[in-house]
Amino acid sequence: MELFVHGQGEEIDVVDADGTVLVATFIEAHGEDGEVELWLEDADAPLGRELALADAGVGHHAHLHLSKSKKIDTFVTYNADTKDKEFGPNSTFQKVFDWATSKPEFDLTPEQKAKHTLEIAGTEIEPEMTAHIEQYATEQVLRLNLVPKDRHAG
Amino acid sequence: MERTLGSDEIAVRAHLASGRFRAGVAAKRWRLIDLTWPIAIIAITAAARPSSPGEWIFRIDLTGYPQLAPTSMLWDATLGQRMNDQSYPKGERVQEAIRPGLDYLYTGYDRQGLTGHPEWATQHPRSSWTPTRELTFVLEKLSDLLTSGDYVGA
Repeated sequence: MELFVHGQGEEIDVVDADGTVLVATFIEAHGEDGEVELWLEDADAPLGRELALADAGVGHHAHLHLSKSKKIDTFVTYNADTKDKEFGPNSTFQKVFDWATSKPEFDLTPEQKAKHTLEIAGTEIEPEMTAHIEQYATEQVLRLNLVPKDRHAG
Repeated sequence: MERTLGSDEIAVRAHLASGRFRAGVAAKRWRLIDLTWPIAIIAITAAARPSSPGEWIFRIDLTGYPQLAPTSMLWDATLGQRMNDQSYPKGERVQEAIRPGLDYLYTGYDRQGLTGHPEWATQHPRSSWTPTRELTFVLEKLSDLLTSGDYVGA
């Protein structure tokens, strides 16, 4: 099966692997060292090392994340108010956006949600919603702004 | 005789082979229909709407990539010409960007859009093309528009 492997960097590696391969073996082959954990995208915990990939729920075209980080302290600021929550390094920006824009956080209407996006604080970077948050974290901290999407009216 | 590839075509082909582009294909967000240099024909999957196509096709001119932004128009693949104005996708934000009557996107991630409005690069840096961007930046933006709550169909 073909897998998409994310990490701290911008690149997404495309890896062919058999479902019978153990998670530990996969980490050994693709992680930088033994302290790295393998996560499924947006899952709440890393995969058990003793499991085969298929038994751990890894299927064709799954998105995985290799990381030493256990969590990313994530702060989202909107209208001068800031909310924070710990997310796994494997979390997508979409997951953070969904949390930040829902109750009990900023509670945007569907119409407002469609008009807003996330920006890396202190930059002019609008991350792709499918990217994993660790890519933009510094020392396991990520600061974001919830901002209106650009419009090119005229 | 074998054709020598220019640096722009080499860069495009590398980005089409990247994990980020292939992940979009695997997720059925977009698909490459043809690349006959310097034109790529790429379909973007749209949210399901009554009496509307499941995807919209774009003709993307990649001359000078990535130093120059791609320039894209909605494409009628059957007739081999720009889509007629009445058939453009509808939606307030959708039609701001994919504007009937134009043979380019009215955005900062389109070469002709930026040429007509060079101020967008500083006014809207989050959504403007720079040579460090990849084709997937454009595809992500189009996918976001055509799957958003703003998109109402054909």
